[in-house]
Amino acid sequence: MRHTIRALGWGIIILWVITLLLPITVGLSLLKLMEPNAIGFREQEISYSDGMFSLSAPFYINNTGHYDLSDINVTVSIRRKNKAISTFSTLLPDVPAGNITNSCYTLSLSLEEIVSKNLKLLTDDTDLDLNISAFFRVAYVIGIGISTSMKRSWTAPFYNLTVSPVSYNFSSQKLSLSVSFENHTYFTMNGTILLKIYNDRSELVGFTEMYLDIPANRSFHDVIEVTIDHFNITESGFVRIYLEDEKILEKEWNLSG
Amino acid sequence: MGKVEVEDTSLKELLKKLVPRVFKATIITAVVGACLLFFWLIISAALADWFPEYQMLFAVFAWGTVFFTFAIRVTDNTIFKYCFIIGRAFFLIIYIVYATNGGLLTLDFMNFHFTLEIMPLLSLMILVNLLAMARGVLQAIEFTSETTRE
Repeated sequence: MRHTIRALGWGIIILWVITLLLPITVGLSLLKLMEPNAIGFREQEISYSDGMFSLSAPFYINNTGHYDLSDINVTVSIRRKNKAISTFSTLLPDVPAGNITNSCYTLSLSLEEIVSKNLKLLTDDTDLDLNISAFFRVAYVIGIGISTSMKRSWTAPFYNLTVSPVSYNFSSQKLSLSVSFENHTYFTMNGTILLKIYNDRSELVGFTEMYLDIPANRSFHDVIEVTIDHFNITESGFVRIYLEDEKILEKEWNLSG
Repeated sequence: MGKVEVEDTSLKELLKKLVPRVFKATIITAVVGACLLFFWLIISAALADWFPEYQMLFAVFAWGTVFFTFAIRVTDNTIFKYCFIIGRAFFLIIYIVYATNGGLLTLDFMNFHFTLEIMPLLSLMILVNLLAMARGVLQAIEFTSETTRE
């Protein structure tokens, strides 16, 4: 019994030493991560292609600490005026102790998602509320989570999108529409837009397609001619504009005013 | 008259045994209390702004440690000593679970929200104290058997 008691005593001492030393060494390891060149971001890329808005953020983690970093998870939640737009969550590769890991964090927002959640993002500049949280484990034992909120400005690709009828040519049966907008984003906005013209009985009376390629911070203004079904045209109706099959604008038109 | 003399003698003997023990326990408890006070003075300056609940939690830990230190010393060479050793281990289990919020600590600093997940570490601390309780039980059994033999 005495040997058992003695063994238990030593076991308790050793376990207490491990229990107290582990957080101290983890803390020292984390201090190394706070050094200036431990975590760095490279040049970000924002782009639009095939109905997807993408933000690509390459970065590196230089783990000069004593323990591996594992289960690294970054979550970004985007909201506008308390309305959720999207949430992205990515599991990043582990960073062993003494190693540098290069990785890339990509946020992708589809046009379909923007149209369904908040159509105004396409036509209005606004501020977005971002909630960024990161979680990782040190030594596979202690988990650390950090989260913060920030505002980020959003610039609209079709700022002030306006469609208005100019005239109707009875002889050629062509309706002229003035279409204008400003691309306030940092990337080229390209894609096919489709204009559908409806009469006041909600009947489709004409449509046209055109390919857009508007560089960043440029405006677009053009008069588009649409061949109309002469027998069904009315004095007023509405026009729908689609981008990559997603409706981005619906507006009434009136030939008299 | 004889009975009163016997009672006076046994009271004097009891005091003779108890007073040095209480004195020794007080000295040791005072040393432990001084170390805790010194530790509190160093840490409180850093944690007071970030972690205001620290003061109450540390006070509970300090008073519990002081109490058990005194009680264990005073009841030395009695079975009660091991009861207090077991009680101290149980107190530490409850305290650690409560103080660490079940292994999930949170802190708000500037515009950041920090979360610390230490459940494996908490499990290790609970295991250590369970071993301490087991050791206390074995020591109590050994003490009882030695006392019976005498």
